[in-house]
Amino acid sequence: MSIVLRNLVKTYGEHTVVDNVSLEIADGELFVLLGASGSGKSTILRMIAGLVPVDSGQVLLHGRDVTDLSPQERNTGFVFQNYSLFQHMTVAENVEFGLQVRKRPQAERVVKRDELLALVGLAGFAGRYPSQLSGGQQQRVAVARALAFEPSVLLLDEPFGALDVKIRGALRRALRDIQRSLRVTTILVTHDQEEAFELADRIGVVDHGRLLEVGPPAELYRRPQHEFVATFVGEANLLGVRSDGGRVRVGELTLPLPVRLAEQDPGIRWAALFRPEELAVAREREELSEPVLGEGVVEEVLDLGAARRLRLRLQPIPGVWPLGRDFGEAGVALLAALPWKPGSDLEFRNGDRVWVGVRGYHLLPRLARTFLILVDGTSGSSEALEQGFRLARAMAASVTLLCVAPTQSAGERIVAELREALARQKPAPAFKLRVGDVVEELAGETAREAYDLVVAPGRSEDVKARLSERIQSEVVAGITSERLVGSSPFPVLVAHGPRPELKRILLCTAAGEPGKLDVFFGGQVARTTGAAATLLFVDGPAFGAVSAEGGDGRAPDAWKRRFWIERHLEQGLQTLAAQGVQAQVSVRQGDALEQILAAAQEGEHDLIVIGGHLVQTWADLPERDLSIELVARADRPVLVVKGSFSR
Amino acid sequence: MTSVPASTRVVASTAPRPWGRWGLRVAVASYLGFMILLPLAAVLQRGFADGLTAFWQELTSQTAMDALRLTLLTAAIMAVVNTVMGTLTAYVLVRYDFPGRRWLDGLIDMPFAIPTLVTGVMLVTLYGPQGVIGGFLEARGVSVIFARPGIILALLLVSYPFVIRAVQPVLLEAERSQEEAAHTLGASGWTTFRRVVFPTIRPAVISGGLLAFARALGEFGSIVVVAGNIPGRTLTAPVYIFQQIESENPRGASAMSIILLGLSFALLLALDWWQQRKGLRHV
Amino acid sequence: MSESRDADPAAAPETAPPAPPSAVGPKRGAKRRRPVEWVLIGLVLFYALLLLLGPLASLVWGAFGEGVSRLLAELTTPDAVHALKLTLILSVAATVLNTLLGVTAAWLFVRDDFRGRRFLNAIVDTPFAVSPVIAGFMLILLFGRNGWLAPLADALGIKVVFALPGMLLATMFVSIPFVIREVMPVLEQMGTEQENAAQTLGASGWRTFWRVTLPGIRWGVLYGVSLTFARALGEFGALLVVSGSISGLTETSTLFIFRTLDERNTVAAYGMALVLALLSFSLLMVMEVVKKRTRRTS
Repeated sequence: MSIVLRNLVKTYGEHTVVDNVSLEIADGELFVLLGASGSGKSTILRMIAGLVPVDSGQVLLHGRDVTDLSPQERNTGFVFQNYSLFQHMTVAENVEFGLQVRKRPQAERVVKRDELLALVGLAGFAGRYPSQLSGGQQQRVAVARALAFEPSVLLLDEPFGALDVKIRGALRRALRDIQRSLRVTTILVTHDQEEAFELADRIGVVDHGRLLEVGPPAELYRRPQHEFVATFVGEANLLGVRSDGGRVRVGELTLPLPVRLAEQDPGIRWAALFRPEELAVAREREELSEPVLGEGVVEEVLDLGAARRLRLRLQPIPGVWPLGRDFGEAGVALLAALPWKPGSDLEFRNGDRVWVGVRGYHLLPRLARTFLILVDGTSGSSEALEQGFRLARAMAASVTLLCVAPTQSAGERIVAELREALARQKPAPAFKLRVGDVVEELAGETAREAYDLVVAPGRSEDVKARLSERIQSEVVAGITSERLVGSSPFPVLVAHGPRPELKRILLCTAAGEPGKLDVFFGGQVARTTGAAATLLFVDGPAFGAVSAEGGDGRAPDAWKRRFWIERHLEQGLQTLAAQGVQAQVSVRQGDALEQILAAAQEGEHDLIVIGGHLVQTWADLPERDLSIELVARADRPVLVVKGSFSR
Repeated sequence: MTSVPASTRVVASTAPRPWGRWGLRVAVASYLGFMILLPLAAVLQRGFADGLTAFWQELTSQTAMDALRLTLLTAAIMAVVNTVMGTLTAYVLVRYDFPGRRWLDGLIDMPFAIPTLVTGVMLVTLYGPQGVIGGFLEARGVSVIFARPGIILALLLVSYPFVIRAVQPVLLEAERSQEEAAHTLGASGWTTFRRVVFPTIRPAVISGGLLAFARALGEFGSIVVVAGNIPGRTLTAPVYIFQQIESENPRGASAMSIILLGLSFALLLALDWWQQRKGLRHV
Repeated sequence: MSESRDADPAAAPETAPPAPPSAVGPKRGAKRRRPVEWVLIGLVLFYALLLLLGPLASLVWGAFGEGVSRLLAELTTPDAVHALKLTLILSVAATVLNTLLGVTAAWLFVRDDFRGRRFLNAIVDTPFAVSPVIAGFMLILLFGRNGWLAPLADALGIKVVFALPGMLLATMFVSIPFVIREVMPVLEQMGTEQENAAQTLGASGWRTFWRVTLPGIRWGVLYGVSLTFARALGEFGALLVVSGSISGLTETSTLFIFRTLDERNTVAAYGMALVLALLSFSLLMVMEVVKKRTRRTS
């Protein structure tokens, strides 16, 4: 391996620019790091060259650990976007610079310089100054300069970014030829996917400092594993779908899950990817030889010469929601590409009714999440915002703000204020404004759209101070929070109290089952935020009832209880370990609610995670929803994991 | 000298009435003529009034020669030291971040703002025989104040900002990636500075150094305090002029004035010419 | 039944939070700095300490060395008060005159074209190149015995040399270039569009200047005024030559410092030096503010 990166991390203050990036690049490979601007791809490249110090992790070049070496000692050829030629030196002096500082004899320098200038097609330009060259020529000189001293690897940072389109194409081909002839291991950073596809042996897609996916261009195009990759590489029709016994249903279609995906956790949602050329369009259903997706209307015909593209809109399909740009619109928007067939008179016009068939598809797990943060204008809203955005950043979720106000004007004021206050907040939120009752509006919203988490304001300190204890739990938590938690079909985070950090998480398995959604979700929170997790089991009356149910009606024996608890916790730890989370374990005795509160207090936990869905399944238990009681009593954020990840 | 693009000139039709404009022109011409040209002419006239021989004799007297030599020597030493330290200071201020950086950046202008006589007094309080550092050095047989090192020290202080303020903007504008490119090509920090950074700031360094030198030739306020003004040892040219005026020898004062003025003007004109040539070549 | 399997949360609450998967290897500081950098920074700080901060602190120390009351006594003697007053009067007068004439000159250099404009523009900078002693000397040559302008001054009944008019001229001479050189670029940058617009709206030349041009260049003028005032405040060499240093009459603050230093009255000298330094520093701060304002408006 020419280049090996191990767990590279770079943070600037609060901002993580490079997040745990590991990568191996083979000898002679041309690897492209593809990502939007600000995704951290350039920082990765600069860390390899030693221009940016590494916070943690390792950089190995040809097996040599260069992590702590200065740029001078690394022997990497680096090409900058702005060329960065030495303006006061001639082309020849620029190209010879690297050899000169290595004290190579004059004769060798001249030979090498002429050879490289010929290679980049600039023989005869040796005596010119950079200011006498065009941008494209300057970049060729920069490439020659970076290669002259025979570096172990060649690193190019958006090398064609400052050039116009025509020159860019020519230079790309030149670079590809040079790289092939010298067989020098190369990493090129770009935001241009066309460039990446034309040049790369393999592409790595970078987003928010993370290396999402690595693979050959065709593989990334046909079988992406991330929604971001699917939409960033080429055009994509992405539909959110749910799985049902190893299969996915999209309207009339039934798509079998690949075996390796079917084995994964059932809670994962899926996205079905149809590339535009994988869709077939016909006027009559019978004309389609492919499986049928549905019927729709042509909204726009785009004639691109070589191919025609149709923008279509299908009738809403139950259980399917379109992802990406048209999120939230009625119906299912699709983009279809029709190959040009000579002599074909198949003409579509806007408004035509058509049938859409599917030639090929790809299923990918839906890892991108959407959080809904509820803002009602109370002071608790700021805590909901703070904690919601913190989790969203950690879990790479997008954020929708649901602002509920008693009147339209009040609501607009809240939205305007929030827009200003959150102008620089990341991720940039979407806003929704509703007038009416908080719980009803939330219920309506969660019925229309799928969310991975609802973040609701808890009671805030100043409200708490003003109310008597009884009214407090009734009015603020007892009614609003309880109704919220009760009515939401999705996990709810009740953001009680200000929490400047998220360092310790308490996972309560007292009333749930390990390996299920609460532990799974809590584990994801712990992994993405880097927080320490404690797995809590409360051995008390409730558990007695649980184990009695499974047995013969007698009070369980001590050894049996003990065995049950051990197994229970072991499974929980395994679930967490599978997610890369090392958790501590704690067992307490007594009333579940009191013990959870005490454990959170003593351990200074910043978040309590509890399952909200399983209590009701034990039919012979009293009507007691522990999670709702916990929400009413707790003085810190509580995450109630309920419902399933898919609608 | 600043050249003015023609476009900013007022078109005749919108100009003030002709007599008003002529009045302004005459006012400005007489202001500058009276304030600048006439005094310069008076010095020239006085210096050469008794013929070239007398002028030459005044200039070649032992005291005058010593004073001129001392001025040139101390100014040259100062120029060298401050060119190095000024460049270094500018580089450190622009490229590194360290506690107190902004503070230092503000302090750099102090010698421009504070009267030179006051800077001289300041130096005496620290480096004089009663000062903390001066007393320490005196005990070891090194005198600073009332000796030649004091003159150099005063010049260093009053001309510290010149090179810094000339180099700083150029460094700020220079692309950081050129240095990075040199590093990836294997050049050490020193080689990078010598071969990549310095060539880009060289014009600014040289002009800053020359300005400081020209300024140092005429420095009076701080030197008259810190130097003992002993003829032949610590008497600089400007102080020599002052003494000649005091002892009613205007011819001697004029001769030295003409030499100093000539040197300064020649330096500044040369600098101007050189900068314009550089400017043209870059365009 | 044991209370806890691994650790009781009350006894050992999260003693070692599990390291996030990213933390491989020791944390290498983002601000890793090579020793060379520290040496260079240290060198610069040391130089600045020896040259700027040390002497400044030492002056303050020296002025207060014999107590605050002694310092106040020395600074409130009639001579000291008169010297400070005279300095302020001269500086204000020189600044006002140089500003009025300087703005006019700058306007003519930028907006007008006449024979000799380039030449006049070129000689504006000469006071920068002239040693202050020479400046004072030139005035003596002009107005002293047998001077070219002596008959004129006599006819008008004005005593120039060793008197206030000469001191004012000396102060003006050394600070001529500041206003002109600060205002010219601002005028150029402003262009003529606004002035032309005002004139098409019927404003007279004078009114246009007053209502349009001057507001446009006000920060440049203010910056030039601060520089002029600071320079005038600290003028010494030229005044020493031209004033005759008659204490209580033609003695300015700088001349006061020079005399008291000579008389070994260090408290008075250091005290007055401190006053001048403080005045200059406050001007420096005004200039910083003005600089920021100009950057914001431009």
